[in-house]
Amino acid sequence: MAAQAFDNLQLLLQLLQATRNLARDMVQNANTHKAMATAQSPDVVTLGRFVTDSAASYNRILSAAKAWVQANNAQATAAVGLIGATVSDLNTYTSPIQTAIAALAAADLSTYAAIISACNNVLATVPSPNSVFASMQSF
Amino acid sequence: MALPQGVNFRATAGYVTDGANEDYEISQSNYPRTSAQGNSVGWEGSISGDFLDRNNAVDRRLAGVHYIFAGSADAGRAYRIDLPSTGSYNVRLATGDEAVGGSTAQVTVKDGTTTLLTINDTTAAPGFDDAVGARYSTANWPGSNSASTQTFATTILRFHLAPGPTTGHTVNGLAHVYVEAAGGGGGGTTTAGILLVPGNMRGNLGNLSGGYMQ
Repeated sequence: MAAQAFDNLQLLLQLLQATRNLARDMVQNANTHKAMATAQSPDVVTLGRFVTDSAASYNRILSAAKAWVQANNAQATAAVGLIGATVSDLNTYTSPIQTAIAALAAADLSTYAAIISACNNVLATVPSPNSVFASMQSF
Repeated sequence: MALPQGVNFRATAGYVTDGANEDYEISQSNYPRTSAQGNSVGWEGSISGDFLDRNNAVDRRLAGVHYIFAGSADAGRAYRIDLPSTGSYNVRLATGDEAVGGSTAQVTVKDGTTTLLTINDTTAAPGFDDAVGARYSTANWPGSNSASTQTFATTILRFHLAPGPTTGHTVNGLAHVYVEAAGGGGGGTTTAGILLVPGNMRGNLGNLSGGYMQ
């Protein structure tokens, strides 16, 4: 029983990486890409590739988590239950993240202004997680 | 995925300004994290080390360090960068410490779980080893460090940082890692296929529709 509890905790932490920490990374990268666009460095094609590749990476991370939850619903339910949440709560939390990823993947990235607009959309859509260590930007 | 990908380890995000192909790493056990360049990166394994800002007057790549305590019971930890495909890549790194002579420079570069390179330098003086095990001062590493060209059969690049020996040392540090497609430039020199042997012998060698509910 104890081993299962520790296993569930590890799974919960991994789900956290694919949800809350994914949101954190999306916000952080949107701010970074926006600063790059404002500074007009690197060139717009390279920066556009950074954004496109970031969207693909977000997609891979969220899709992997979704696939695992769908294939292991009972264990996922037990894992999120450790913090009093449900799998339905996961859906609610990831819904805006999912929307933002899809929009970013389809966004016009042909100009610096368009990239800033795409980044602003991420910042407006994705929840920015609070942190005790916000000044360190590390968690 | 967009290579090149450089990663600079430090404690504070804004301590220095990274290059266009570089991101900073200030987190623990955070794989998979999406870098600013769009690559999946991050620390795997247990939390046993820490980060430090060292000196923001030196090259940005050497300004901070991620370290693991010497003699730790932990088996070490790996920093992972996912590659876009199998094939040949140029790998660069800086292992050591800008400020503390008690840092070893011991990093194993792996293709998935297969060891490609072993940097094993226990020199007890400030400085950094590069990807071919050559040691440089903080001032000389930026212009002199060499890349090592390696062929990957998997798409997983790992820089494994192990706890070093305790005698005369306190930590084992990693300041910078970098990977690019072979032939991708990046400056400095490139050495193909070098394999360094262990020991104090430096230089010898989705689908996004729907939710989670079924």
